[in-house]
Amino acid sequence: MAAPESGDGNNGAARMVTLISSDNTRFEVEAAAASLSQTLQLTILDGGGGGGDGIPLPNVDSATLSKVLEYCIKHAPAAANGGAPNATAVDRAELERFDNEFVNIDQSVLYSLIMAAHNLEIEGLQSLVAKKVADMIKGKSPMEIRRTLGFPDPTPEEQAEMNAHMLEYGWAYE
Amino acid sequence: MEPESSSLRQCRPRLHDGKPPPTEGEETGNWAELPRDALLSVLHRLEILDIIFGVGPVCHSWRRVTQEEPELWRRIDMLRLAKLEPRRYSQFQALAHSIARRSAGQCESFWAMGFPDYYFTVFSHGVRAPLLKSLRLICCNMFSFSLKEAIPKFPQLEELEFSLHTDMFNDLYEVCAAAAEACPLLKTLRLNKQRYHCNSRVEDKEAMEIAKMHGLRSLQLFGNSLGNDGLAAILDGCPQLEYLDVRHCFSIRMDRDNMHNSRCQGMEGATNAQRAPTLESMGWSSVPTDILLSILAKINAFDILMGAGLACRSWLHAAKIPELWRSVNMSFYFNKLVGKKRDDVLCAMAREAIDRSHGHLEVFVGSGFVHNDLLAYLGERLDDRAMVGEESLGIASMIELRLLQIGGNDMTNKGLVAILDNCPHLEFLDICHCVNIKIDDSLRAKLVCISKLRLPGHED
Repeated sequence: MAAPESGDGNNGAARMVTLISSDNTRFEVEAAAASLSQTLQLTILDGGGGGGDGIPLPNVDSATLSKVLEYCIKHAPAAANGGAPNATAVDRAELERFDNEFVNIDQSVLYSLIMAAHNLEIEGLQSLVAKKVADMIKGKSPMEIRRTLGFPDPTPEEQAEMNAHMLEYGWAYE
Repeated sequence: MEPESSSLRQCRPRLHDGKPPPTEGEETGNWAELPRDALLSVLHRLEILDIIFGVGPVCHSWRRVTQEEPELWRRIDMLRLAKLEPRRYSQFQALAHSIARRSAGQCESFWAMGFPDYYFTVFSHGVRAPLLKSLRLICCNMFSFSLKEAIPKFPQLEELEFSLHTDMFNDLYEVCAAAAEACPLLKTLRLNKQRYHCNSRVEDKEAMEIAKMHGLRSLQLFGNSLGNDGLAAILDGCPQLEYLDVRHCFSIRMDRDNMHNSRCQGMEGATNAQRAPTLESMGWSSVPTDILLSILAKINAFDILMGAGLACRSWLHAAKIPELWRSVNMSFYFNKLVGKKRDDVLCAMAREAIDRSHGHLEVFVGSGFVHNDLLAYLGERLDDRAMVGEESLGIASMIELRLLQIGGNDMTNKGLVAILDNCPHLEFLDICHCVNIKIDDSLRAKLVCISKLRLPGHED
């Protein structure tokens, strides 16, 4: 795992924890980064995840977990500063640039990410992905949204229900 | 647009202005002599904690009424208990005894958060509560044997919750066993743990007892250590199960085509109750409701009504949740749409948004298309909510609109007054460029409470 670019450095060697994805890949990461997850934070405070133990995350696969950890590692220093009131504008701009690039990915990856962020309760990541998806569906018709996000074809029943609503809101399709 | 007679709805005559209706006692100031029925009509709208700590000690006659009316003790909801100040917390013992004494066997539901074991024992010993249908104990510091002994006294139990107990013990399965045996009507069970213990081994004891509750419809087991065998036993033993929440039950291995999946498919769990810890076979169209809400909250009313809210059935359901409609900003669209029907379309959208808010609307912004009849509609909807509020909750006014920005519209004083009368919490009102509004003394009088005002003629 990549080391964080700017650790706080005053704790000597930072504490590491091991996370185990659903396909049994082990990820070693600083406790501070993993603690961005509210779910993991409790376990880590209890001393879990150290040594050979590792914390199993049975509903996150390794591809998604590595992406999640990339986010956590980048955001951990700012979070450690308590939302970074004294962060420089440069730092903030750099984080923003990172965020924008980070979510510039396929919808299926976004889906795995938001589910993982939800399960692991990583607030910043949840809202980042939600914002991205919101931007993707803004100004689109229902059909365009279905295509953009790869919905399965509607069952005839569902299609009928949607059509009924479209008629009900006929004004929307003048 | 011609105002049609049908759309000029008259506002319902107001019974009062946000104050409780005057009662006979008010004349003399002698509330203690309030007729029993009148007092009861008030007491029935209070929570049990207010009755015990507030009303009871007021005076002798009120105390007697609270003691003699078993109806008041039928539904004991003390979920707020844990938030009480410590001075009152120390009155627990008295509390448990009064509940035990007064509910006189009539108690139908007992809900508590942060209720110590000893006092629950007092309650369950003293009370013969053969009618108890719902028992919910959350964050209660309990011993399982107290519960195990108490549960057989409640043969009518339909709902049982025992969640987030601070003292984790291993014999919870005995409580499940007692409930499975003594409560044949049980439909809802919640046994949530704080979290899944990462060192947990598979532990199916609780699941095996739950599997004997054959009438179960709804089951929530957050963070339980049950494994595949336990889950299979539950699915076999509870054929009527409609809702299953096994989030954070990480001992369950979900194979793509094993029997749980096929059995769970037919289950009508809410979308945010993940049926099992698996990501397969899901997609954006079945994303959990709370995630979907976080996305929809970031797009505007127009896009929800015209696009995302019609993408599929589950998105349509989510798009109707009132939470999304607290703030409705329709100022952007006036210039986007063209044609002579534009005002009608925007008004129809505004009405839909108002309907979906179910009276929770706090902010409304619109310009160019807002007429008297839309304002009347808005006022009336808010009023409906207030009426419902009075009926069911005993709260005089629940009207929440705080910000109304409707500059550049054609409405007149009449439309404006219709809404001002219904919005006691309005803090911000913008009606600049509204040429048909005439600021006269009666209107001015209605505007005094609004802290931020932008009136016609004050344009920058």
